[in-house]
Amino acid sequence: MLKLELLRIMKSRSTRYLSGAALLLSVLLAGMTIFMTYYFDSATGTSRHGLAAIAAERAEAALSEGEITPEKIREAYAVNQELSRVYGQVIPTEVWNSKMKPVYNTILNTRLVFFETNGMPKEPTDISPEEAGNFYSQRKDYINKTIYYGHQNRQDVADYALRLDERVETPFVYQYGFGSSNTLAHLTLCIFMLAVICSVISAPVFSSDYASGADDIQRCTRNGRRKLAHAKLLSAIIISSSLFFLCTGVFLAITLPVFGLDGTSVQFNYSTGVLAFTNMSENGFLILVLISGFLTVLAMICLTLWLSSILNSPVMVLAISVGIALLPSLISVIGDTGNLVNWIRLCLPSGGTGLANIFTELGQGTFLTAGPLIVWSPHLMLAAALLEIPVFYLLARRCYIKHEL
Amino acid sequence: MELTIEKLTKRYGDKDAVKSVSLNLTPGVWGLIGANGAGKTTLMRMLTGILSPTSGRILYDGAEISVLGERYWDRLGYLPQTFGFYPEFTVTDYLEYISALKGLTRHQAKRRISMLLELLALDDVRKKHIRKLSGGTQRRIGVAQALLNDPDILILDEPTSGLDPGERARFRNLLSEMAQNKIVFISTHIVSDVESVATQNAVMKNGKIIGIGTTELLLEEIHGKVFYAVIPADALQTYERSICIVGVKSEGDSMMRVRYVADSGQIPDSCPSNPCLEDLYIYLFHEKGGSHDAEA
Repeated sequence: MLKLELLRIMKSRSTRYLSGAALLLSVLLAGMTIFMTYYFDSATGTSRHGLAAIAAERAEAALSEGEITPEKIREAYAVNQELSRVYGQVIPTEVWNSKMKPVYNTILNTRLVFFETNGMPKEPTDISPEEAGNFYSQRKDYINKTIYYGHQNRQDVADYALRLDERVETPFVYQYGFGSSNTLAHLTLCIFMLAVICSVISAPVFSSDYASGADDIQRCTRNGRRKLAHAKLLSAIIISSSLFFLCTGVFLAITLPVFGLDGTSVQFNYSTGVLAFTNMSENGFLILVLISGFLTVLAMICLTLWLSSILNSPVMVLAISVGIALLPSLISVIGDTGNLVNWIRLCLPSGGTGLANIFTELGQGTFLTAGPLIVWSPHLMLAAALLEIPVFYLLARRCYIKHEL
Repeated sequence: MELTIEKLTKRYGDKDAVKSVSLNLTPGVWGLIGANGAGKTTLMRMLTGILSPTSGRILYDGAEISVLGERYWDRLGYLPQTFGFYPEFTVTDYLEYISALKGLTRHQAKRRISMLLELLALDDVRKKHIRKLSGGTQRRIGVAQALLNDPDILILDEPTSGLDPGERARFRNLLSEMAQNKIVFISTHIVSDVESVATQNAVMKNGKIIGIGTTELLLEEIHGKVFYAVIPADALQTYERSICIVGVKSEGDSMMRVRYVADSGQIPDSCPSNPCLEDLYIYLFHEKGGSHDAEA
């Protein structure tokens, strides 16, 4: 039954076209990631794009690769202060290339945690080498204050964040790789696109049968209820999962060889998110993005299948499903949304995709509270998707079996 | 083998689509006659088990069909009024798909499909996409899927709608052939389709069964009440207001030959005629006057 249902869905023109479109978009996104990489060479005053830009970035990053020790940070800020004292705002190009370039990346990735007493971030020239040498303890202070003020002055939330942060190993390690590019941001865009396309494929699974009356014949057959419901649900899930792995696989197969894998000790916390309270390498984070994306796509499909099992119009199913897919992004665009809206946004099946996804959420330090309960947003995002997949699956199955026009 | 319907009712909101219908279906062809909206499709959907009744029971050989479930569906073939199919399927794909749903083995399915394609003259189109075939051919495919499991009970909802006269005649012959030892329950508002093949008829109006019996028995109701007469064409409208006219034919020279049902000859020089099921149908569902409804 499953084989027949799989063949049936695969035979449909819309599935074939949508699968082709998804694959094409993945290739285009991968191409964009590579060819839209931009590098300005201050030595020659020229700009580079694509592979040439990546090579230049890699060469520049090599100057600051390795462990980001307090000494290294102190030296970087000392160089910055010295050059600022001697040259002021305008540093000559040859001096910039020889002295500033090797430390620039370190300053760029550490400056965020230093702030004035009024809470405003400090200019790098205002950060003394001694202060910079305390980067790792200053980072704890930054986490404490950011979470405290960002969560209605709740010290228990800040303490929880600091407890989570205890897992993070220091000093950080840096190495150029895909984590230094737009690969992950574009991968999440690719996953969002897949969530929408897979929803389009899944929307008519039950509802088009209701609309055409095809289910009338199926329902009065031996296998036309429970077994067919399972076959339909599993087919949609198998096809969408295959499409997910094919498209993300193609995307990564194009981008990763170009940017290179990051070293296993390279930490996500350093290059991407100071507020990421997890001891995760960029490679580990890539896997997390894939897992989170896959769970979100599955949750979206199961939601769409459930809608399909209760509504007679595939267009209506699709409209609601795409609306739900876009909702977390729309909420994110609005800005600071408050605790309750964040709960709703992250509990939606689409909570892990769109503009707000695991990639952005891991670096934002968002905690949700309900009385004494404190949940870190990435945890909620993953847990909600994990829970919703079986719930919507079983609901869809039940609604199809019980459906009566 | 019998299918017993006991006081079956289906209510939507405050409207009864089917009102306390009781019937005992035995092997043979049963015609369910009624106008559009009479409740035929609702009744048939309840008989297939795809619609739950508000009250009442349906028993197959004494056991409730809701309890029998798959065992009942194994013995059932159903062609709904709207034959929904997958546009991406060829005829063979579709029949193989339904065979799998009906739990047939691959060998059984192959044998049945081959036999039915031949029986229903579908051999030439077996590899064609269903969406590209004519309405009549699609209807035959619908009949084929209903017969795949060699059912004991065959429920066909408006099976001849969309068929041309030749196809309808062929369908009637086919129905007679396959009705051996089966309960074949056909709903239609095209009376001539069941008149010659139905062993029993049930007439449905406003959700109720208003008459059950053989064609001859049902025709008893209008025995001696069918007449024909020739009238001036301009008098037709006047007569239509007071008499149940069941047929009109132009006779030339502004004259019309009318066939009507009435207790006695209402038009001068009327001649009696033998009643047919269509006369009864129009008589029962005649909108004007309303007195016939009460009688029915």
